[in-house]
Amino acid sequence: MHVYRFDPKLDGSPRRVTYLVPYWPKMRVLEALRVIHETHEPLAFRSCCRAKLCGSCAMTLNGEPGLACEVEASDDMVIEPLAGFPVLKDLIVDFGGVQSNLDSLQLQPTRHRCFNLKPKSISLDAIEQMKKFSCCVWCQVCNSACPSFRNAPGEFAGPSLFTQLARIAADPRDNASRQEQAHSLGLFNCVGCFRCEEVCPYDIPILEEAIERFREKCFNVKLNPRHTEVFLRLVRDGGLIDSSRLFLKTRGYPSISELPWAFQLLSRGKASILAKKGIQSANQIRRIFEAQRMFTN
Amino acid sequence: MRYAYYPGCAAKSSCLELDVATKAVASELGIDLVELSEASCCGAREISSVRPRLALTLNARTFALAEKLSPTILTICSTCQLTMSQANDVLKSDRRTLAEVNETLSNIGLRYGGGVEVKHLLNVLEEDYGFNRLAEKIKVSLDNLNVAAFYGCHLLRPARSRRNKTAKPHGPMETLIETLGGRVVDGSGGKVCCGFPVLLTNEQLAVKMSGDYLKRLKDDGTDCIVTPCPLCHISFDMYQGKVESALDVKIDLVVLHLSQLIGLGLGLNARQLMTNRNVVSAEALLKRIGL
Repeated sequence: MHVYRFDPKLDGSPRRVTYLVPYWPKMRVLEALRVIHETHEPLAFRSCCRAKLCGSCAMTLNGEPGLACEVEASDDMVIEPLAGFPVLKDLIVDFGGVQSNLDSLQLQPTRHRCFNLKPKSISLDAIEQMKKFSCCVWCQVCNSACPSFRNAPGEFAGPSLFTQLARIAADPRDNASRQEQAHSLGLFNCVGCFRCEEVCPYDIPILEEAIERFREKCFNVKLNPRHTEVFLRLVRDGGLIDSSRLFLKTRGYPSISELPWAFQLLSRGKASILAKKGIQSANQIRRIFEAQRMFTN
Repeated sequence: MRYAYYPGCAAKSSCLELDVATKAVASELGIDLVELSEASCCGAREISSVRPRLALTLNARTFALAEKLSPTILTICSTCQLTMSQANDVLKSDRRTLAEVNETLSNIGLRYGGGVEVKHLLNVLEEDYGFNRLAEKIKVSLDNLNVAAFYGCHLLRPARSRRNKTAKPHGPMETLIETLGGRVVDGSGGKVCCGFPVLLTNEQLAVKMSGDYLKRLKDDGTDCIVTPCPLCHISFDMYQGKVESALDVKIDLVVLHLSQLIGLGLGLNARQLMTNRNVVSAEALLKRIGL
């Protein structure tokens, strides 16, 4: 097994060390790490429950984020710290950034309306909805796979935060405006790639049931980027999206520095200054929008 | 083989070359495409995330139009494929929703009976036409070109909606590239995103996402990228100049639509595949394979 080693106090740069580890059927990566730690040399890694319940042993296994206690060990495996987070030592990373974001969300049920002190049951539907997200073990595997979080953690707080927020938003005892918090976490910088759902050890529908439902709620209170509304109006008016119209109506005319690029697109026929004709039956689309009470003006 | 052809918005505006190349390839292979010229935008995740019922109704209208033409809709965009197949799954599995949507459609004289299937061109070639049959039609070998296979997120994920397990190391794109005589660039399949969804709202982030990928491919000696998604094509081809400015590096990596790559293998010329419309010139690449 090839393991990433780095001690910032001793090493100038990270190194990869190869260890021979005896294999037994269904051996997990975590067990292999314990063998290395106990029989080869001390190795820094986090683990606790060994049963996929605590989420502490998240790391990058053969290039894919996952839990070391869940993923089966294999020959020639490359084990690295969880990508997207600063390395503290060997396989231990710093979760300080996401943790402070989480702390700022005040995720306890918050009532803005006066509680009348009478017990009130929580519906089974609400419990089912909360359960979809309450199985999150805060392992950060989703954040590690997320391209928006990896490239701009300051602009997109990461899927794990939205999962936590969706859990409390589904709680009927909570009256706080969670969609505003979601918006401030960079909700519309999610690219919708489904990587978070693909790697989640608990198959939580993070994009479709947490992030996109917050988008719907934000749209209801007009907390959406201009782009969303332009997109909808273009479909309503012509049935199809004309890329050039979408660009101009969202971004405005290209800046001076963008002009060479814009002329190149015009010369290749990739962009057009003339509005494209929509489909002939665009009136049908308008009627569908009207039936949904969307943009009836 | 008759399909209700759904080109989608991009192939009818900034990626018109994709529409033209697809029709040329289909004609060469004897695949009959009946264009859904009155179909609307699928809504992408843009509409389906903020107004799911509206997206469902728009797609049900398209399905109702297609039902009269063919039991299968052929798509050429990864995002259209996901959005439409997810909408179709809901309409087929939830009779109450289908009835409600049909009530709205009745106002415009349409009704969807739940009888169509949505398939991407890639899956049509793999499952219905067959790569072996395609191999018999190859006239020009790709001459061991190093081709990166970029599926686009929505042809790979979410797994529960995936028709094929395309995320496996050797999926249909890889097989197709090898059938055409190309070499697949390792690890090019698509755990990364092209950044298209935030291109107009956060261009800096989008360019960073596509830039990292393009630079890695360039460093690995890639000759061209092929993608079955016009939205990924826009990110990689139309915005490649912006990536070069942002990273201060010359990339000059040809990006081909899936239909264009197949067309090259079938011996179609640059005019038939409209490769002159690609922003990064494919001229040298075409010369290399003798076209």
